[in-house]
Amino acid sequence: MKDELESFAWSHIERKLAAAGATPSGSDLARWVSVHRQALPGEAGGTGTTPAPVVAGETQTLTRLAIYFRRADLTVELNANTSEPMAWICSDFADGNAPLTPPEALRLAESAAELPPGAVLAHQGYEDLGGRPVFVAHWEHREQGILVERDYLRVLVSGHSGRIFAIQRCWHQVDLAPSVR
Amino acid sequence: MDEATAKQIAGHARPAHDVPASYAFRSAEPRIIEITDGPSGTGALVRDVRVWIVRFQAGVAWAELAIDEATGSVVRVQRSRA
Repeated sequence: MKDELESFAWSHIERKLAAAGATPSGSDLARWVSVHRQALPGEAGGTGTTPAPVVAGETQTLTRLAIYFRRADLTVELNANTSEPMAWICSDFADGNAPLTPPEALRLAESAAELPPGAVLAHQGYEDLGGRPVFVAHWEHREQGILVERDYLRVLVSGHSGRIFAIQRCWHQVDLAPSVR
Repeated sequence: MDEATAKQIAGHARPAHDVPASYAFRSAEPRIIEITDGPSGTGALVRDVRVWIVRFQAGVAWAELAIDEATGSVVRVQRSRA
């Protein structure tokens, strides 16, 4: 249940939007905006001590609310052992109208892939993924020419926006000695 | 170990690993794979192994034996779903 102050913040936002001519439903608004109460300095989770302002004859309570606006969904996968990023995808980056030629898209993908030694470009080119043109650059891992099973790097460039919207990385250092991984 | 040797070892090992006689040799290629020593799970030791992957196939059914390049032993068997 929202507390009184959060409800006030929501009402304030709705009034501002209505004044600007927008009338989103409550559920739409909740999808794009979130309101969170924050700790004040001196409170648990705060960063210092700042006294709440007091006006003569009145008692005031200082409350800090953070308002977040949703821009996009970003999914990131991290290796639980090493905390290294394994993949990220932001589908909103796929929207736009600035497609790249295949050589341009490959250069962009290479610049973002941080190619490790042993990365060999296995295939690249535009593909139809879910009805959308997507430039796929896929590198495999080879040590002295021998394929390292399951390792790969893949970069997806939107054929609409010309932006990278996903990177997938499954890679490890080859080690013939037994170890915990 | 060369391809011919890997193929020969796999040929001798296939009965012990239930590779049907109807499966024909399809390919052999060097690869580096991860092998887990002991039961898999937390704390299990993993190592990379240079192997030859020897594939036998009949239609869409297949079986692959991974032959350790250093020891000549079969370290992994994979097969298509029945």
